Amino acid sequence: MTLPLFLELLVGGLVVGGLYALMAFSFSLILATTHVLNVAHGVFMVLGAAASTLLVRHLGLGVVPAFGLVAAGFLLVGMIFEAVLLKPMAGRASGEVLVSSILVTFGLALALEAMLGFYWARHVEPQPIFALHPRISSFALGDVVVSGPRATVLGIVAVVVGVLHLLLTRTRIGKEARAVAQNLAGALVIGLNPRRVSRAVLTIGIAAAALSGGLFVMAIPLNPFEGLRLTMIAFTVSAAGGVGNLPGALAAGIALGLAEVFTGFWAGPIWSPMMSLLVLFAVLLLRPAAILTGQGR
Amino acid sequence: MREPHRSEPHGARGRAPAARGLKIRGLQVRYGEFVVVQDVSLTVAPGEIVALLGPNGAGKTTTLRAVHGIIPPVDGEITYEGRALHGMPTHERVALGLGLVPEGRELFPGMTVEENLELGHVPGRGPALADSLADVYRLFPLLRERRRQQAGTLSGGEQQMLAIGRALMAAPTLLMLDEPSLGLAPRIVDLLYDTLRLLGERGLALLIVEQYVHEALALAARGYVLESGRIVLHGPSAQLREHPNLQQTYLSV
Amino acid sequence: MSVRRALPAVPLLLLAAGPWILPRDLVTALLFTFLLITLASNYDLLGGFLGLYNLGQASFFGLGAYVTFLLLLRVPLLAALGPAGSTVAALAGGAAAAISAVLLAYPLLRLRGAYFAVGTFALLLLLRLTVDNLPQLTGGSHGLYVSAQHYLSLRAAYLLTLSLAAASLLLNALLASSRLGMAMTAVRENELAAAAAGVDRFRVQQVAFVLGATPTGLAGAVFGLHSGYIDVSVVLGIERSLFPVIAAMIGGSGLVWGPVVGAVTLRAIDVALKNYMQLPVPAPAIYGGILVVMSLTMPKGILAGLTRAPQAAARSGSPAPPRPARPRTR
Ligand SMILES: Nc1ncnc2c1ncn2[C@@H]1O[C@H](COP(=O)(O)OP(=O)(O)OP(=O)(O)O)[C@@H](O)[C@H]1O
Ligand SMILES: [Mg+2]
Repeated sequence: MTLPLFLELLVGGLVVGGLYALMAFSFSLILATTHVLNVAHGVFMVLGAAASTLLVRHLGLGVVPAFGLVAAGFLLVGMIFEAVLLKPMAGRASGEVLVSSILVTFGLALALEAMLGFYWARHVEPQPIFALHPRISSFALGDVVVSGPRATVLGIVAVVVGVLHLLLTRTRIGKEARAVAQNLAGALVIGLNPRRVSRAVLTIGIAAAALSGGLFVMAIPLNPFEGLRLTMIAFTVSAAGGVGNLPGALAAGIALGLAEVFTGFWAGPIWSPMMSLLVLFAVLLLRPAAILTGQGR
Repeated sequence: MREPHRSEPHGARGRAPAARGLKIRGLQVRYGEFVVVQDVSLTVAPGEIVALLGPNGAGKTTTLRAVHGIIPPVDGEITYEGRALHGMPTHERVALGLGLVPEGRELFPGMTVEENLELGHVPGRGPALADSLADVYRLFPLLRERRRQQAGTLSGGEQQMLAIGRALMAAPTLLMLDEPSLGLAPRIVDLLYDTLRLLGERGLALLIVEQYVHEALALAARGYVLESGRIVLHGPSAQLREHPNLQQTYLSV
Repeated sequence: MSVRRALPAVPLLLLAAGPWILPRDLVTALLFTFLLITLASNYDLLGGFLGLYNLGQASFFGLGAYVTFLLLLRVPLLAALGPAGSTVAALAGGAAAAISAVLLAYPLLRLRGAYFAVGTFALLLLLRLTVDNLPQLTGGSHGLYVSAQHYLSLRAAYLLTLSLAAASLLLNALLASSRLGMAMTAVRENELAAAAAGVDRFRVQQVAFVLGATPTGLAGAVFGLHSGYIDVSVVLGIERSLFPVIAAMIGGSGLVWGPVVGAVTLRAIDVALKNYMQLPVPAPAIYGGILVVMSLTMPKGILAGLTRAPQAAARSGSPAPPRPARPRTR
């Protein structure tokens, strides 16, 4: 393998991995603070990809304003999601929430996925594929040509991760979210309102998932039925990185992204998704502690 | 059980016509089928220091948790400053002025000392954040030294100070402490009680749960003794200290 | 007592006469209902009795079907034997499901609660990808066909699926009142106490896992031989995995008759949707919606809502105190 090729694969892995990290971190923050295992998380990502595609390709918006709109729109979706589906579970024991949230969000995932594929095929294009092809020119770094869209994705991911980090470490609501994730009993005793926290986390988490979907299809196209697979990836990355742990999610996401890209290169692209499922099993079996510690007691 | 000095449910004998402060009447709490707290009545007047004593499993923690809104009582009435607390979520009780330093401290182990304190502050209640912080640091200078340290790495005594400091950040008017001396060296316990005395002198009401009664009764004006979920004794501290049953059960420990 | 116990045999005999007296459409509809009852009660063996939610129940269905087909296609001797060969291949399909359950129990049963659900679902995805990625062996997205001599007639398929459904229900009913069933309940209610009483948690769960996988594997074989064609979306479909969960939930998880009520309801909805109603919504969206609404509003299911006492007693009794554990020889 030549060096430029290696570097190209490396950048590809970083892009995919950064996006996995972003999506996985929002997933695991939701899991850690609310005990909701959001099976629909990957579907929200796909919905974000679809919305971005619609805005950019069919309505002619620029990529960045489109992402802004998607993020804002899905803040609203997240609020509705919390109010309609998860509010009824408030006050149940955390183990119970975990299990019933799986069934509820699994149902939601299937419903959303089916509707998306159905209506897209009917009203937008017969073969639904979500992809953005923005005209951002590529540039050379030494011998290596860096694709403009990929660099843009990496840049935006870095900014979003930075913003999330500041949100969690510098703002009151971010600290409350970390507190709830670390020790729910302690958070209750000192008078934090867990509903307020879970509302904020779900809203922001779902917007982050949708945004990462929009960014994803700047690099790799998606179809409407890949949501559940993406959820599995979110689960893998958050479990490997430690639930609710941002640096951990970044490291695990990038590791998985690189593993997929290099597997795809050597064994053929059809084997990359398999790679991530195998990693999921490895993580489930080898690091159960990481999964459990992240979610309180 | 066969205690002559049994308390009457409403027996806040002679105390102020207390609509103010904490009043518990006929409290009953269950875990599933098990009745853990049975017909408990007690009062804490504003600024008063009261001890709640009793052996393991008597229901002391459960009583505090019911007052703080962490578990719903089956029966009985709890009022604070004249407001009925029934069905009120914990965060509203904190906003009313109730504070709890729980059993096991329940800190946020992965966050710094200062972050733990900040989280205790209730925006819009009491002094501003910076002033509350400065006040807690004055009370516990050690916490200021360790403000950047992760709470999970503190020693037991430091953790207890942090738990108390964190509760104080919400500017409570009644602070409930669940076995604050548990697991601490005697010297640290003395220090802790000095601080509690100071807080009492400032006018903060305290409800202190202890199994080892020396310090608690030395500080408190009155005390209650809980056994198997019922109040079996209550009265002024001096009287309790002299009481033969209590002598026998606890002071020998 | 024994009369009451034999009572379900009467409708069973009536049902068995179905292919000779009912119209063909209805026979087919019932066949699919029996399949769903089988999968739903197999799912509920773990979901209801042990609180282990297997979201990958279709893995065993697909495994049974694929192993059967591959044997018939790759082993000339079996192909030459005609119906006898099909029988052997189908039994091998069931055995493959059972053996893989024995083995998969080791990694999967280390997982608890939500993580077991995630693990089993990931297993289904992994199987789907494997089949997709090995087209030389599995036919990939084109699927596999067997020759007409191996086809199961509608009557035979009907009777076989009816037997599988009845056997699965009987299995659950027997378990509900057996020593193993009590051990299962004890493990679900309080794992630590059960362990303290000497119940071997892993062994109990492994047995249940295998018991819940075998009829499902056989059902996959029967289904495949009846239609003559299998592919990933049919035998390893996400819906194939989801339907048993929904059926058990609708009917009443943990109740022997719950999956029956749920499966009949679900199939009725399915038939109504496909044949009589023109809804501007795809069917999976409806099922997803049903799952959402059910788990929010009626987490215990229809049956539990209708009949309280007798069914609840059949399920577990009151939170059963863990039994003296080591199986004493009688
Ligand atoms: N979550 C629970 N579920 C069931 N029973 C409980 C629970 N918490 C406490 N109990 C029981 O309630 C009784 C009273 O417990 P509680 O913690 O109030 O006692 P305590 O007086 O604080 O004891 P200690 O001095 O040991 O802290 C005990 O018998 C205990 O076993
Ligand atoms: Mg206690």
